[in-house]
Order: sequence, then C-alpha cells, then structure tokens
Amino acid sequence: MTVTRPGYVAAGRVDADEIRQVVLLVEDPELAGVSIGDLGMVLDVRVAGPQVEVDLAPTFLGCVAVGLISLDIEGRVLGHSPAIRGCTVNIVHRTWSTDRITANGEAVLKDLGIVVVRPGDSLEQVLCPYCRRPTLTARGGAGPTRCRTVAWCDSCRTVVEAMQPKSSSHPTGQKS
Amino acid sequence: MRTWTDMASFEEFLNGGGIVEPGDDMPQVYREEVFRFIEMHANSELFGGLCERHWVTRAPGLHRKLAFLAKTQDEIGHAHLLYMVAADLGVKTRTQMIDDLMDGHSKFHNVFHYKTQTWADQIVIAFLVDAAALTTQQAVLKQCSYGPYRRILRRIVAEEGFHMRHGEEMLLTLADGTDIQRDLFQDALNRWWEAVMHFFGPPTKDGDLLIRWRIKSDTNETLRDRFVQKFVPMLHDYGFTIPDPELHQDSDGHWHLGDIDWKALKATQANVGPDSAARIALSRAAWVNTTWVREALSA
Repeated sequence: MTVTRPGYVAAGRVDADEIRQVVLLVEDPELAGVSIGDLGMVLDVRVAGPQVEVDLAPTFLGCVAVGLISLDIEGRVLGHSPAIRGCTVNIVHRTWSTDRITANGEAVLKDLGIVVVRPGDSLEQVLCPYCRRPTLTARGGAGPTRCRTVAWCDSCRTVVEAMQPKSSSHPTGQKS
Repeated sequence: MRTWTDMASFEEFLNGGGIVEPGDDMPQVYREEVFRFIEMHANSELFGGLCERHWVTRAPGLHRKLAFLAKTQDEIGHAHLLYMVAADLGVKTRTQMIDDLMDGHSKFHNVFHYKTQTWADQIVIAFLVDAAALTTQQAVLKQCSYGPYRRILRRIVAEEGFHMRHGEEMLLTLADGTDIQRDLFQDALNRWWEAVMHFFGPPTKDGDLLIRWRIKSDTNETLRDRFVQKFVPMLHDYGFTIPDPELHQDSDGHWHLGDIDWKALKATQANVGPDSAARIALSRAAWVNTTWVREALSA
C-alpha cells in the first residue's frame, strides 16, 4: 500500500533514523502497549529522498491486522514531517518468527499474560507469567488469533496465551 | 489459600481492594455469582462468533471476509478462555455449560436473540454492539475482584477495541456512500437501537451483589449513559437519526434518552426472543456437526 501526501512541496531533508524510530513505535492494534518494533514485525525501513518504504512481516499468513498496521504506519510517517512525500508498506510473508521479538517485547507481552516460546523451545520450558513456575500445559492450538495458542497454568490456575515459533525457513520475499 | 471466617470479613477484604484467587476458600455465594457472570460472558462470545460466522461468506469482498473470519476466531477464542476460567470455579463443568446453553437453559446477550437481516445489521453489531460490550468490559476490568477473570479481560478488552475500529471503518464506508447505503444503515439503526440500549441491562437494583462484591464496578444506567454520551453525537455527526423521539440534550449538553420499554429484553432473557429458538438450534447444529473433530482430537 502506498500513501502520497496531496499537494506536496519539497521541504527539507528526511532523517532516516528518526523515521525508523517512528515506525518501530507504532502500536499493535490488538495488543495494548506492544509496539510492532518490539514484536519484530519491522524488517526494514528505507528512505530515498522524500519517499519512505517499510517492509512489514505479519506474525502469520492472512493476519487481518496488517491492513490497520499499514494505515497506522503511513499516518505516523506522513504526520512526522512535511518533508515526507509518500510512504509505502510492503507486506513480506513468512519471514516472522518468535526469535524476532525483542526482550522488551517479551516483557510487555508477559505483563499481558502472553508468553513467548522461542524457536527450539517448548511450552513446558517457559515460566508462567503470573506465578513464575514451569507449569504451563497446552489447552488448544487455536486461541483468539492464529499467532497465539492457549495454555493453562496448573499452579496458579490462570489462562495464559503463548506466541509460538513459526517455520520461517522459506521466506518468499513475496510483496503485495 | 486464604480463608475467611464469615461474610463480613470476606466483604472487608473485598472493600479493601482484595483480589480473590482460585485457590482461596471464597464464600459459595460469591463463587456462584462470579461463575454466572463469566458463564454469561462466555456464552455471549460463543453466540457472537456463531452470528459473525454467518457473514463470513456474505461479507462484500475478500478483505471483509478475511476480517470476519478473524473476528469469528477471536470470539470463539474468547469463549474458550472464558469457559476455562468459569469451569475452574467448579460450579458446572464445561460440558454442562455447553449442554445448558444448547438446551436453552442458559442466558446469553440480548442482541444475539435477533436475526441479522442485512449487511448493515451486521455493521450495527460490529460497531455499536462491540462498543457497548467494550464499555461494559472496561468497567469490569477497572476493579474486578476475581483475579483470573480480570487477567484475561485485559487481553479481551484490547481485542474488542480492535473490533470496534473495524466496525467503525465499515460504518464510515456506508456513511460515506450512496443514499441507498446510508438508508440501509439508518434502517438497521432504527431496528437495533432499542436492543443496543437493552444490552446494558435494566436499571441496577439497590444491593446488587455484582456491584457489592466488585465483580463489576458500575451500574447498568451509568454504563448506558456513558455509551449514549459518546455515540449519540457520533451518529449525529455521521448524519444518522436516533430512533428515540424523546431523546434530548439538556442545557449542560448531556443527552437524555426517552423511557425504555423493557418488554423485548425480558423475552430475550427468557430465551423467547424473536430469533432465540433458531439461534439456539443453529448453535446446537454447529456443535453436533463438529463432534467428530473433538473426538478425533481427543483420540
């Protein structure tokens, strides 16, 4: 998707590092307080003159939130500086896995009751975000969204969700 | 595990902001009250998902179909989380809860007792009903005394907020559209407004246990009023008319509704609303048709 500022007139230089920060801080619309940067969804931010291009990795194929996330990115980027003429968001499928989640992202998710299972790990090795005991058991592959599974903590009897690693060995680089 | 010698000391704990955990020796009446509340929420998420599912194939365009598919998964997923918390309270098993729901013995939200006739009806549900649900859930989340429910509500509320944005986007498409599209929404609003007002429930009685035990924090009237103050001006801005001839604004700018007729709500509460029987039958059919999946998974 590409958004172009109507009636743009050339206005100064665009700072690539600043733009990258703006993009990284866009919030996930479904997870309160978690940024797409912390989720590892931002693959690349390129600035060419007044044009900004963002490569975005959805957490699963067919995630409907990417439409809103793209709109939010475009809005923030264009809103950041009048020097920016346009913003393009490319959706790059099958490039995301839980290894892309930052340490801060993991901490914020934990606070929401969502644990991160890193590639090569299993749910049984992960501590419950509430009572910090390794007593999580899987309770169904399908949670409210396809990037999360459901688990139950046998110690504190709380429902937990888990972000599971994806097989991302075949990035297609396919753009839409 | 915490224990309380009597109701007075338990209530003192609640009044001091205490959070009840599953292992606590909570009074049986509290256990049953919190269970009923969560069971009703779970049932409503399940029926919401089934209602939305109907529109997956009918939604205009692939983008909307995908969005409805994802929303359906969200609602069913929420039901799953809520049934786990409810079952853990030990009042009914999950199977008993499902059986009671399919047998028409349980309650679910009033809006799911009506048939959605047009695409605009579904937008009313996706926007106004989701917004109403969000208003009530935010109020529960604020200071709910039952720990496990409060924890999953944080995630559910965030996701309902996302649904509302989706509903608002669909509403804006119609509001910005042709006369036919605008009329379609106005017609849906005319038929659904009363049900949306009913969604918050009848006036809360004095001494209501849900409020007394901080299972929810605001009365039904407070929540309805909060919704009205926000959404009446918004719908007016979009150029729609609220089907309430007595609706008016006082000198402070506060909106006041006309008298609400509770007859239709009472029918839905007794599971004899306009489409209750069909909805319950549909949910039973969905349950029966997927028995083989559950059997295969547990084999």
